[in-house]
Amino acid sequence: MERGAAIRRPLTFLMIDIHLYGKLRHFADDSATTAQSIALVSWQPGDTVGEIVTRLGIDQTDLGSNVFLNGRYANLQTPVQDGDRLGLFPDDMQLLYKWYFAPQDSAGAPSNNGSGAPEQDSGDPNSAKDGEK
Amino acid sequence: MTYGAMTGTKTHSLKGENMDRFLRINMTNRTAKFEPVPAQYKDRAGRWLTSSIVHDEVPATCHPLGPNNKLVFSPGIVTGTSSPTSSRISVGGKSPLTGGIKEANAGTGWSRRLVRLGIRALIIEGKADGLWLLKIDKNGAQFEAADSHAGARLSEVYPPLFTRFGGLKTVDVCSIGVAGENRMSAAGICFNDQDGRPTRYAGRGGLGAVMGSKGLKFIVVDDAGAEGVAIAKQDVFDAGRKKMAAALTEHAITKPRGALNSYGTAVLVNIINEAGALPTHNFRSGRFDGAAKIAGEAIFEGNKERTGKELYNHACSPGCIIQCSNTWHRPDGSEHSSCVEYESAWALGANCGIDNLDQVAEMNLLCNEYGLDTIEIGGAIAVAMEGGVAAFGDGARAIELVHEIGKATPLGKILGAGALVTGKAFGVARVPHVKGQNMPAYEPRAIKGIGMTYAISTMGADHTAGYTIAPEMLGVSGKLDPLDPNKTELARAFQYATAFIDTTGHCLFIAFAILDIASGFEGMVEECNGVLGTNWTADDVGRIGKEVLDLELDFNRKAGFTKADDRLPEFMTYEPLPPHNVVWDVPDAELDKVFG
Repeated sequence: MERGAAIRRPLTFLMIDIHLYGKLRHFADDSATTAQSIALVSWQPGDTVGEIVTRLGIDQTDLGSNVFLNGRYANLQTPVQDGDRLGLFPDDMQLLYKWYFAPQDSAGAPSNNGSGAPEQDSGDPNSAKDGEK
Repeated sequence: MTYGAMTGTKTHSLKGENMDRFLRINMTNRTAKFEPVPAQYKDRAGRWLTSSIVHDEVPATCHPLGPNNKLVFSPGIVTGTSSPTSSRISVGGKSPLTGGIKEANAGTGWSRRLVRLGIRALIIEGKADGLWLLKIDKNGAQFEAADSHAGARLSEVYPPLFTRFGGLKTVDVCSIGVAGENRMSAAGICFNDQDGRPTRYAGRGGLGAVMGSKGLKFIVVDDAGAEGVAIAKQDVFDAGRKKMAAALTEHAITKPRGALNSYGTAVLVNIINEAGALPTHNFRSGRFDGAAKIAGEAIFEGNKERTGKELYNHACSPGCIIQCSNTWHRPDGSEHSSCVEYESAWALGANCGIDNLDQVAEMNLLCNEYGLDTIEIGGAIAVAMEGGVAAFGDGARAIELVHEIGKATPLGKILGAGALVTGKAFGVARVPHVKGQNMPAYEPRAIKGIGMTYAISTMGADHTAGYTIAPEMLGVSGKLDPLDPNKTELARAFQYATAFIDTTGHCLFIAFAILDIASGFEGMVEECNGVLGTNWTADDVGRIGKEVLDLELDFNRKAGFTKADDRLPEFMTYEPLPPHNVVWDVPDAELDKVFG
């Protein structure tokens, strides 16, 4: 809804919006905590979340488990499509068990990117030990 | 004042009694009686004990505000020891909001003092005329009239009570506010924090109304000269405590200057909003345009701007490592409100469409002053907005509505009766409740697992009943099959684990650390074995949790609940929720399988 409304997109490149929080906000032009801190990053076919994150200059080890693609839990291997919204929280804001949210399509909701890729080990330090053991 | 100044019945002595007893209070004739812990309750404490006593002693069909309901307080197994983050008090009774069993808990030094006096459970029975203060110390229990405090804001009555009874180093205070005095179903039971603020609530389900119905206004506990908590196996306890402390200190969420200490629980506002699951405008949308303005980051930065320094959060109760309790400050730097929790910022903010942190903080303060559950009140106001009482986003009018509750006007009493009653009064179909309790701050259409918890919880819509009861969990290993029976096993397992944590006296937030760090989980079990002399293993966590849930389910069955009550409201099945545009589609049969 708010995406795209206030942001002027260069016409020649395909871009995705990255909503940044906490110590990652300074990668956006507006880093005020009471606003949306949004960075635009160019997109190429086949990009994954990890590649987009690196392109923005964020060290992947600064990310926590709260990585959202179009509001759905994602990981560094998740494919990204043009026009997607990526939400990134730093490692000191991983206040949720990642299993709260459906990876890709598993909650029965339509997925904007339609990829339906299976969840893989994200390299997230919590992912392997999470859970029911 | 001394004991001589107190009126009422004689002092009932604790001296010469063995430690670890029940204290039973009859409000009808204001007598107190100490009893040994019955054999069948050996090793029970916290939620296990409060739910056991409510199940065994309260007629399930009684009126929650009548003389046959009881109010039960119990500190946890390790409360009162050196175990970190363990000062919870469990409060149980039959809920006037849901009509079922209720367990609500809070973090407060009051719990430590009670257990250090050797009181494993405090049971309030009967019904008195007028309002009374109950004072408990090593010499026994005494009553005095408290009618003069009726109608007052809690921040006005707590300081004189502390002064009179020896200060924060000597006593902690439990009380109800004007909402409980008026037996409103959204009334909570208030405990002071470490600075004496009346801000820590066993909030949900209207237990404050139960306390009010009994004519009990205050319970002051003084543990001077108390013997403390006996530990059966010191070496086992010490080993467990160290593992627990290490896990809490190490984990990114619970460690000092971690997520909870820096941003408070309100760090979740931005996270859940990004996930498209922040209920907005009375559960019409999962995204709120003003979310960032009421989030934990905004609180942290706003405080920095207004006070000139970085404020990290404080502990609500003694011995907490996590320390997630925040304060919000006025433009002049003075303290305005504490604690602006995630649930409160959401209920009084996003859910009502209000993005002004000062207005949200004022409503939060007023809920503490009047003795109200912020979730139920935010829910009731949002439903009232739906019904045309105010416009979404009108913070000034919303503040007036909370004052109406504080003045116990007819409109205020409707709101104070909770969201479901408010919906009926104003002809609203969109009431997001289960079993009469308004949903907390996670949209079940966008987070199906928490929706399952809401539906089947013995407590009504309750996010704390099972943090991780998520079909999404299976998605980690591949695609999800909604009919996979493994899912219901996991769902059960997490409700059981939660019931066990509520039994230990630990704050539920230890779950973040102990579910990620295996030695922390072992430490929790070892601490309990150390105190009790038991030989529990991880298997006993599930066994005990199941026992707690079975007692609660049995009470609810006897109170008249059926599977038809384990459902989300109908509108969620036909109104798609933006931005994901999803409806609630978990099959009823799936819900019914969780507890069989």
